[in-house]
Amino acid sequence: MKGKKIACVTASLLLLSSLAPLSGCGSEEEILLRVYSWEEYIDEGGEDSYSYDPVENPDAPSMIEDFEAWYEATYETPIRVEYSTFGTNEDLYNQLKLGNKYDLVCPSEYMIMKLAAEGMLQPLSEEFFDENNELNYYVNNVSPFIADVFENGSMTVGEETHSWSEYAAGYMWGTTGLIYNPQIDGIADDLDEYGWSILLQNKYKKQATTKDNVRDTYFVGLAILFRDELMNLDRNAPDYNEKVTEIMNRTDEKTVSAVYEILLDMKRNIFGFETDTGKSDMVKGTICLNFAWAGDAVYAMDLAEEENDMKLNFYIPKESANLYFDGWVMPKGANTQAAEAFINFMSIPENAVRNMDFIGYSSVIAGEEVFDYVVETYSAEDSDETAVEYDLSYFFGEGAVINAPSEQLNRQLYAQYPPQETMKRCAVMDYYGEDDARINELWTHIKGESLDAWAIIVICVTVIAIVGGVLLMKFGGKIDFFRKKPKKGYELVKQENIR
Amino acid sequence: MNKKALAIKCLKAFFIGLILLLLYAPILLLAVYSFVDTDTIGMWGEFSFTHYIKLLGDSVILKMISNTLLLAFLAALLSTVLGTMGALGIYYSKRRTKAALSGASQIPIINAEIVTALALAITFVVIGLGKSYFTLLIGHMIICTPFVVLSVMPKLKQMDNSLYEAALDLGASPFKALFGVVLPQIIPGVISGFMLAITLSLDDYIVTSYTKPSTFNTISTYVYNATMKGNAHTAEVLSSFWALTTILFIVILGVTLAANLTGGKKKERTK
Amino acid sequence: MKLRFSRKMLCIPYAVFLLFFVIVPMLVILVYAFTDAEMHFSFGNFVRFFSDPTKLSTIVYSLVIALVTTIITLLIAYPVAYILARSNTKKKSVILLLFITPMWINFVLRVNAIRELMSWIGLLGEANYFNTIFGMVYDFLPFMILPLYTTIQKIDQSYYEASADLGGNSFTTFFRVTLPLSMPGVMSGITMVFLPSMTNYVVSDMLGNSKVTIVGKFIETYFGTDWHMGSMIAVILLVVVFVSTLLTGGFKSEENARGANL
Repeated sequence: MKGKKIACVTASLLLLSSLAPLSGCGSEEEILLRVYSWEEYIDEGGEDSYSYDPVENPDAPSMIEDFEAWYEATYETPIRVEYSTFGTNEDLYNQLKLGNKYDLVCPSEYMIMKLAAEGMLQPLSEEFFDENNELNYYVNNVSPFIADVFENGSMTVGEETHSWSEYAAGYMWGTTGLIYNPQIDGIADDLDEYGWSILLQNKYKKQATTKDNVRDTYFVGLAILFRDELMNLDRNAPDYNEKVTEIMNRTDEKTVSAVYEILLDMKRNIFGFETDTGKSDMVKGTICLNFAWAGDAVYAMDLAEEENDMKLNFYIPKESANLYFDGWVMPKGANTQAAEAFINFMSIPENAVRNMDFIGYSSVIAGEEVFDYVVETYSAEDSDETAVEYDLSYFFGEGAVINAPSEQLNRQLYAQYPPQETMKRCAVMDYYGEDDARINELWTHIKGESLDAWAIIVICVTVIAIVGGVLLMKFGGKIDFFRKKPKKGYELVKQENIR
Repeated sequence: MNKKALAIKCLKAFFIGLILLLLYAPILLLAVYSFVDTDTIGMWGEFSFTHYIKLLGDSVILKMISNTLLLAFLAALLSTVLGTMGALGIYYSKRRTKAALSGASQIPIINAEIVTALALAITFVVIGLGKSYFTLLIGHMIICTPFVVLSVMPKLKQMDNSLYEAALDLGASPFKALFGVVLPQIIPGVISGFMLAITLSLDDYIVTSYTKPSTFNTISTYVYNATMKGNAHTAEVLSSFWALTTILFIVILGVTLAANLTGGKKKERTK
Repeated sequence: MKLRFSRKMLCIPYAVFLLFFVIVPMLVILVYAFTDAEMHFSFGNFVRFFSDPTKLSTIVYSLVIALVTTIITLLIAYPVAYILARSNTKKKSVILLLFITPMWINFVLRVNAIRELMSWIGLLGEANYFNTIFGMVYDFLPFMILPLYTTIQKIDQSYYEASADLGGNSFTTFFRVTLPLSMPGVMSGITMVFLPSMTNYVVSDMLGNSKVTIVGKFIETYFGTDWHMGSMIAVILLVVVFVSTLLTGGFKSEENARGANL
């Protein structure tokens, strides 16, 4: 009886296992593309999407879904995208360091340089740069301005030096600046007069905020420290931007100590360091000056108009401002073909518009559809008499000029696409490399509390005294010196474990 | 009742009420704003149900919420079981074991979460476990279990030891004695440990983000990530969570009121 | 041969769990703490930590903030737990639950709401330390109330009667009967509040506008750039806490709070 049972079970198992490979037959290999990017940093479809149309596109699939469909149609292989999100560049770095595998990640410019320096990236393939291939939407549509920046930017990869464009394809870009409330008396003049050092002015005590991260704040510190030098540069010289970039990348000890003093001053004067609350604080009027990234600034300005009927402006100080970007890079071991296809799909001008509209930042792509979108968003009404000509040919190519209401010279349009003149003074701040530790120590000292030396000594002595006292109370009984001696004439028989 | 006793009673009630009010002021604010059509607390707006519509209509948000709740419940359950057993074991152990286990138990509480998270992540990589729902559960259990132990221990110390021995004397097996005599005495501690465990799991971000499978999202990971780089859409989702707050509050209030109305008398007797 | 079931064996699963998922990771942290960037053994982090007045000051400030938070939380939670546990109303479970439910709302959302309320009062930006401590007390209150409540509730009514019989008034009863008997709950509550309040930086970031910095924030920042220093600070924190627990007798086997011990 038992033998039969065993035979039955074995037979059925064998049968089942033989069926298994049959199920695999006939279907192609599905590619898995693991993308790791910021939260809500891609068009997610639905009613909020730019592509939504109640009649023609009521379903409005997300960008990811569209990509999967497009890839399968173009390359005749099914693909599945696993899209996960991170909160900060440092989190991204930690996750990669821990060995998590991704095909495509979207770090900020300095993190790209850090990852490259540590040999964690693989370069974009040669096929990616073939402009004759019409599927290479990125190289065919990226703005010449951005392409130049990427080409001229250099970073170390292991032992060698490479340009950014060999490893990274841009996604969104922007500058930093100050959102301000123009209703405040004299604020526009003060901004002109003081630039970044307006954050040190007593008039704006507890009215300004800066970002709670070391890089943005260090940049401001540098700009304040070298204000004279920056303002005295010849803006028409061909190497103006190079000189600015050099100054804004100084990380030597002397500079760092000087910046430390400035930032300490600033800490006392500002309302606080913020990561996210700055926008709502500006809108509510709690503060009137807010260090912001351009993309955030656009959102803040939109919010203020919507919720509070308030018009906020954006100012890019004349000394310099940080030019930042988020770009797609491939960690080592990535599926190059699929990753590059993803980048190219994102770079189709229509899709760039969708993403831009959803996120609020500026895309690096400069195709026709993008320019049309900008015109659509910012063009002045025909009846608007204050309309001025806003030249964006440096970004979009010949003849890209918008007729915009004059107030936009200080507002959303200015934030999303600063004029060429302004861009000349914007510099990318590299990854600090070996000086990273020094600058992080600077940050620790700025953020941390400080007690005078005497206070620390007093506290240390008190602590040691308390520790000593307690130890004595507990263990004093066991040490001969502290034992109670018997009276004269009496002898101690046995003293053991008397508690 | 004389005047003094009445006055004292009023004072007590007033004090409790005051603290409750302070505790609930922010929640009430969120609840009020869940009915206003703005995404920023502090701004004026009009009465509207937008947040509720967004909350109940967006499948991504609902999935996030169900992920969070399920994970919290599971992690809390496992932690409570493990922690109660641990607390019992520690209580009955010899002095050295007691000290060692108590000490080790407090390490996750003392450590900043990033330390626990990173150390755990590295350990998982070395062992070869990677990131999965399993590692996520373990991560949450590490945070929650020490708190369960801390909740159960006081009840154990308060307990009458002799009852266990008496039960054995009367012929009960050790198991029966444990479940029938010891456990009922520490139940309040177990339950409060369970509640604390749920809280910790619901709010946790760092350990979650370092141990979770890639596309798994909880309310906390979303909220934190959105705080780092937010835009109009993240603000919308965040404000839909105000609606969640109100719903949760009403549900819990309803459940406890209902439970209390039926079970009130019973509690009096077993005191 | 079958092992005789002993009650202490119940802790084995927990012990194993602790070993694998707490002790081993801590060893990893120790390794990171005492190595430098090239993973060579080095005391560099240790030296750098103690020679930096900022880090030391921050730890001192954090300790003070944590201490104040714990004391205030205790002062508020004890009366609440006492009143609730000793009252005879039917509604006391409901009220207790009311104290716990706020915990289940996401912390960041709640702190945002508190921030708004403080802004209305006008405290935001002015009294950063006060705001931080207020926020922390708010966050940790339920953690202190629960263990206190469960402990006080179980104190036998006969103790109070005995104390009254022996001539004690309410003060004496409280200080010589209730308080000592509720000590286990107090100790648990303090542990659950004091230690995390040194590392929870969300409150100081949101309510203190990041102008108040706690050790936890430092550790977080360092783990973004230098895992070694971050690990060292974590280890030092652990040592500080362990030493203080040892000194206050936290680990010694507590005498049974009830007296008669079989």
